Amino acid sequence: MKQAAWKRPIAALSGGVLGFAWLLLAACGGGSAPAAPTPVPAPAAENPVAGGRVVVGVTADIGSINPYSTLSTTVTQEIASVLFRQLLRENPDYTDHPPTFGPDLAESWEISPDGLTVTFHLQKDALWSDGTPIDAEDIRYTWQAQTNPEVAWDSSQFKRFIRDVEVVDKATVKFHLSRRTANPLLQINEGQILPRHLWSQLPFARWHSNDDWFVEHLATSGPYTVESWARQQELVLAPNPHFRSPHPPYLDKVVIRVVPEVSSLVAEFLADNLDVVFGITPSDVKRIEAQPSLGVVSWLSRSFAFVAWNTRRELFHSPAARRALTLAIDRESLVEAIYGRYGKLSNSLIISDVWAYDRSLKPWPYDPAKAREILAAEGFRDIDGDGILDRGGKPFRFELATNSGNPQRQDALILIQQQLRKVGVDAQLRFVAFNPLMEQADRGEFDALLARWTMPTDLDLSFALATESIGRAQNIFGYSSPQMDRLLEKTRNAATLEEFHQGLLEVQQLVHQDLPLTLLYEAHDLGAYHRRVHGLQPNALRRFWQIEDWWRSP
Amino acid sequence: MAAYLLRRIAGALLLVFLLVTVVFVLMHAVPGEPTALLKNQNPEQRERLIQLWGLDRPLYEQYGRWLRSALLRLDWGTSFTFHRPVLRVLADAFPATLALSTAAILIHLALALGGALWSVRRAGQGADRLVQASALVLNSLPVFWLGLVAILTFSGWLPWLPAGHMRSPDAASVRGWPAVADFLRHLVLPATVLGLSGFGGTVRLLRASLLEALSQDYIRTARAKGASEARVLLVHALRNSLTPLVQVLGYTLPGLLNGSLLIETLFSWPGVGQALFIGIQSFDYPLVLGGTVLSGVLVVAGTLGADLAQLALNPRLRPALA
Amino acid sequence: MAGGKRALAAGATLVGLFFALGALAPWLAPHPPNEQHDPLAAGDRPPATRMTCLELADGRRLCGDRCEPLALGGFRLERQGEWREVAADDLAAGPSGQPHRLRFPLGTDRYARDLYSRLLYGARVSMTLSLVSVLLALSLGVGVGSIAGTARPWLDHALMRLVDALLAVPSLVLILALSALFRPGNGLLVLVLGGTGWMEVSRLVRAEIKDVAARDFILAAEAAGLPSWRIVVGHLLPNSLAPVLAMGPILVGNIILAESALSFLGMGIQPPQASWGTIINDGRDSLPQAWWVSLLPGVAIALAVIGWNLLGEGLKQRLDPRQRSQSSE
Repeated sequence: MKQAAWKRPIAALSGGVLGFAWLLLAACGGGSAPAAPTPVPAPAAENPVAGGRVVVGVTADIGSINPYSTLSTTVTQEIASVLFRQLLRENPDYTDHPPTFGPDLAESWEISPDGLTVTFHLQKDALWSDGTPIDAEDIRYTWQAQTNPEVAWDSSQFKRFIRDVEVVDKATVKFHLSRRTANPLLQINEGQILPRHLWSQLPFARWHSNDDWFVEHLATSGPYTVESWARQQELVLAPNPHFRSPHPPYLDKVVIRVVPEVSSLVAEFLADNLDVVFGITPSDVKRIEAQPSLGVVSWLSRSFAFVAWNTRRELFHSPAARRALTLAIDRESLVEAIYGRYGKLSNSLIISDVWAYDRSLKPWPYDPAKAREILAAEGFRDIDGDGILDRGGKPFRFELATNSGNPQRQDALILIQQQLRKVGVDAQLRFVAFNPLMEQADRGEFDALLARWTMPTDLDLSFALATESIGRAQNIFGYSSPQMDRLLEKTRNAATLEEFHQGLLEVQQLVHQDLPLTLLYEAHDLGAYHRRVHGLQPNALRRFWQIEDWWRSP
Repeated sequence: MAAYLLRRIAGALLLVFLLVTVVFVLMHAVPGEPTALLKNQNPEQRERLIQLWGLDRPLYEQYGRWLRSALLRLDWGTSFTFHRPVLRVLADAFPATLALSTAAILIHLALALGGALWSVRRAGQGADRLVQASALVLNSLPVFWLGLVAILTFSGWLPWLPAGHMRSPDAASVRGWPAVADFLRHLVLPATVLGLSGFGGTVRLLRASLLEALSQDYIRTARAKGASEARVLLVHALRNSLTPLVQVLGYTLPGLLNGSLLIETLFSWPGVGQALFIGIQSFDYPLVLGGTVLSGVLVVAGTLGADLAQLALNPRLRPALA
Repeated sequence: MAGGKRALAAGATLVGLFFALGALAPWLAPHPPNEQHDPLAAGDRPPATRMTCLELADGRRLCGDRCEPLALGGFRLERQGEWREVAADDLAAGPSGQPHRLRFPLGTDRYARDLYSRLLYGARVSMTLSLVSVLLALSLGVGVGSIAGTARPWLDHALMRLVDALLAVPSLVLILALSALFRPGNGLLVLVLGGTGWMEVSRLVRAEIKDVAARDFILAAEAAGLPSWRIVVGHLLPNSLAPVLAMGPILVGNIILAESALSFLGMGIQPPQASWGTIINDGRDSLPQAWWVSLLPGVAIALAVIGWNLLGEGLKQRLDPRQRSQSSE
């Protein structure tokens, strides 16, 4: 009864990463023949049964259970969302308009007419797992932690527009803002609420060196709490006795097991030692689907891969040259070769199933002939007959880099290299460790590089495109266009949703014309589950989405 | 004797100090910075972390600070990746590595002794050649490849053993003998693979020293007195081989640590090797420094211990050293 | 004695074979090592696979298990159990647009690259790289060893303590730390492998020199008033080098193993370049469904290292008289 027949996987737009985030390893694409995500069907006739244990296999280690831990990873964020609740819960309606919010710890809220004060009314009976009431002081304390320099949370700048958090009474809290924004809830809601009564005993200055402390002094607000944790091994979750909304979690125990080797992960899953696995590769799908007791689930991730052109370099300075390079890359074959049917051509910095995606964009085709034409018009000719175009005595030769240790990206580079060679462009491949590559990108010391980013939740594209972001934020392209800067400014200061949307459309059009980057693909994430487990609804943001709904047939 | 001991220990300490210096200099010459791990949208945050971790100080000052706190307060710094004191990360990981290496050494010894005895009893025959050939082959195989084959065979094709980890899921809820059995089941594959690395060298050494012993007078005497062949081999000849064996074990320690880095990564074994590999990948200076010092101390202690044990076993060496 | 000769012959044959395979790789390999033949249909195929392929006008290649001509021109290909039709217009002009058979004698990896060709090119990389590294390690080792062996005691002592310190770090840790240092590449790899392999050599050279220096003919040369550099270069070194020469091949074997371990961890040879270690690493994720990708390079490594070890063993017995008398016992 609690379960709709089909739950559409949702790509919620908040609570995750604000600002473009670099993805070190592609989590690998996934899904089955259709481009649409495969949700897990819930058996309509069966009602959830309480009890039982589910073992989940993941490939990345859980860094910390503290969501504000300095170097937080995706898995850390996921676990945090299982353990801790937020003020609000986003609704799964991102395809049509920006996400709207529903109650979570706050049961209602109002925004003042001037847009500078947001008041939240908290649920009165919400308790931490140790029985302490969750109150307004926790909300204020969380904000202090988020903005404390010694905690050095990596998304703290998104809280900068919050001037103060005022505790009106135990169940009421007021956020005072320094400026008006289109959707303040998005930024205010970012991050999980912490147990002040326990964690405030450890001064912020000591947070970064005492990670064990948080496990030893833990009270959670989410459906589960930590029973035991062996780092790099497994995290055992037990139900939070005080979690009631919308219902107590069904499972008695959830074990999250870290298996870094994908082949071991799949072997353990097939040997029935794991009930659910995340992070498998497209090549595993066939073997898993061959067993009727196992199912595969896939969903579109929020990340996209692209080639960044360093527009400060003479070769990539003109938009026409960048267009020629884009036309010379067979992006469709690339996606097919790397992700099979589980990837999708990417055309915009905004993921294709997000409401603000510009559906009128026409993908650049694979057209080597046209590319050659444009390059000729730009003054490139093969003078010495070596098959490489030249201009001003210098050949069209540059370094194309990506991070080492990622076979998908490396193979994408090999394909691109072969294709560019056909139009007389010589790309020399370079594989660099992730950290040095990011630094070189920051400092603009590269020619071109292939990377994968996760889309920012607030759709603020100025991080990557504004002139002021060169060398400071993520405008690694060195892309500077007065027209773009005006558009970004206009979008950021949009007072209404229509203006915001219009601004985003214009930005996307301009990116499509100017091409500081050639977009390659959006990929699916993949998971698999044993059919005795029900209620899985993984989505782009949370694989453990609404884990309280998971249950297991006896 | 005491002077010799003191000299050896002082030498060992000097060695560890040299080692720390070498590693410290190497780690800091690396161009990647740990702060690059941040989603670097916020330069101020980065600056703050660099200050927090003391990375803005001159190198000699960082070095001095590390030495001081490591020696005086046993504080080896904080791991950037785990946000925990390095010493605690290593202390947590050490039992796993100890268990794995001990099991590996035992398996190594059992196999090598068995192989050597078998081949000596049938010197020059097929069995002898078989042992010699397998020693050569095993010495020529990459240990990680052996691990892959083991995983593929014993947890893929024949799903008998787990492909990794130290215990089954949710093992804390199991106690007593079933828990021990579960641990042993997980230990078998990685320990055997690790035990086989360097196996060839040990077998050959044992074989040679057994053969040498068998040609000695006292063996002839024992035989003449009518001792059984088994007794001759196991008691008389083997005793002669103990000294070189102990020495070899001392020197295989670095190889064992190398192997455990690969094997722990491959089998998700939560030991020092795995922690160290994570540290190297993420430029976690304090962790790598601590891990290297730990393994260096182990190696130095291992060779020292082997030398001393040799002295204890073989009193004839003593006067020469005193 | 006979054993030593046989080992030498067997070792030399194996090593020679791998050198030949590596040197002739461009002629022996049926495909370029990095060419991806239609990954969707030809990826992760077992050894002894044959496929029919078509070149398309836009430069793509399609492969299938079966190919039949269509009535209206063009062909249809069976790819992964599904038939795909290719119109005549889409085919490349000339003979390459006609169906042709491709063989993958040892199968393909998941990007549909020919494993046999990659192994051949891998032999090339592994053999040259390890040989150059060993030359570096030998010259470093001989240099440091002969300085230590002939220098004043304090320098000798200092050098040997440094060697001890370096030997005390598990070499893999040292190598990993070093390869994180600079831009990965083959040059760096040679430096790193050579730079971490010389310590044993230097110990050996030093010991040999000390040993030889005490012999009568050196004492005689000293008594005759020959300058010390002439003694070192003319007498000490040549008489100490035999065991070093025997050690060389064994060192090559060790370095091949170290290189493969490093490449396996992603810190050695950089893809797309094929080396045996990187191929094993490439096959790791698809081990259960395509075991050949990871297992066959291991066999190649083992054979090459066995070859070098046998060669070293044989040389040792031939060059070192003490060894000879011992083994003939």
